[in-house]
Amino acid sequence: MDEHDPVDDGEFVYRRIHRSFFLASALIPIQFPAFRPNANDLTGISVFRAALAQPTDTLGNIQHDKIVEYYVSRLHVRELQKLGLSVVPEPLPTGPPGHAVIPELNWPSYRQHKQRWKPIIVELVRLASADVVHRPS
Amino acid sequence: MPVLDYPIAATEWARGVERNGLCAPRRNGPVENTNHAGSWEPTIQKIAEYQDLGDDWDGLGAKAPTRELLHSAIGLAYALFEKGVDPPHCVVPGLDGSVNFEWQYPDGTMMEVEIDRPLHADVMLIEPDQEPKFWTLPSE
Repeated sequence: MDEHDPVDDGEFVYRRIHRSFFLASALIPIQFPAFRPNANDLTGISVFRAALAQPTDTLGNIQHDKIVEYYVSRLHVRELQKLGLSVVPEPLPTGPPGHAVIPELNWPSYRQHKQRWKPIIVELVRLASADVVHRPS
Repeated sequence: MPVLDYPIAATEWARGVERNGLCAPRRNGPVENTNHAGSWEPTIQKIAEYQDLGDDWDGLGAKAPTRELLHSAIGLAYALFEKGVDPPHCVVPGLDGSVNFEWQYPDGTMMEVEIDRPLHADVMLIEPDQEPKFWTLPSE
């Protein structure tokens, strides 16, 4: 598989979750801001295709001392589609491999339509909380 | 359900910010005098700790909350405490420099207050089998 190949709905993707957004004692451990776009997400929030990367590979472009601050969750593309979301390849020249974005969840759209996106982000954190595949050591 | 389903006036919020002068986030020192914040005390302590966040605190370009926004968040915490609202189950910094309060209940009810700029917050309330509700603070 090539990084530029279209994403199949049978694929899984990973999302990096900073430990600030993870509260193990909460009913839903991952907090909403973990999936909220910011000003850097002009083309959508980042995910990584599981067919092209291991969970820890996704941490490859984070500075070394902060890698230990990250969880990684897994999401099924089909479940994202049920929420009206898609996944589009957006390879990074210097990695990590398998980079893609959820284009609908981009910063301009989020800022303009918060009330549309917030309930969808709630569903994303529910899904992500149910499948955490990497925890900080 | 002890959620924030009643108004918070601008004057009440501003009063909370003024009261925050007693426990203002300080550089190089602990937060002072939050014991008058009751069950909200841990929340206020945590917000004050965010003063130590710099830009790129997550290693991926996150923006740190400004001091003014932190004062606002603590002020709102006081205003909610005085209204008798339960403290949030968690408080988290946003990647965009916001501060967020979250409540989660076993019946599926969820609420979020996103303080996205000084003296302004977006509120979302999701209750089972109901359409999500949204409003902003201050409400008057």
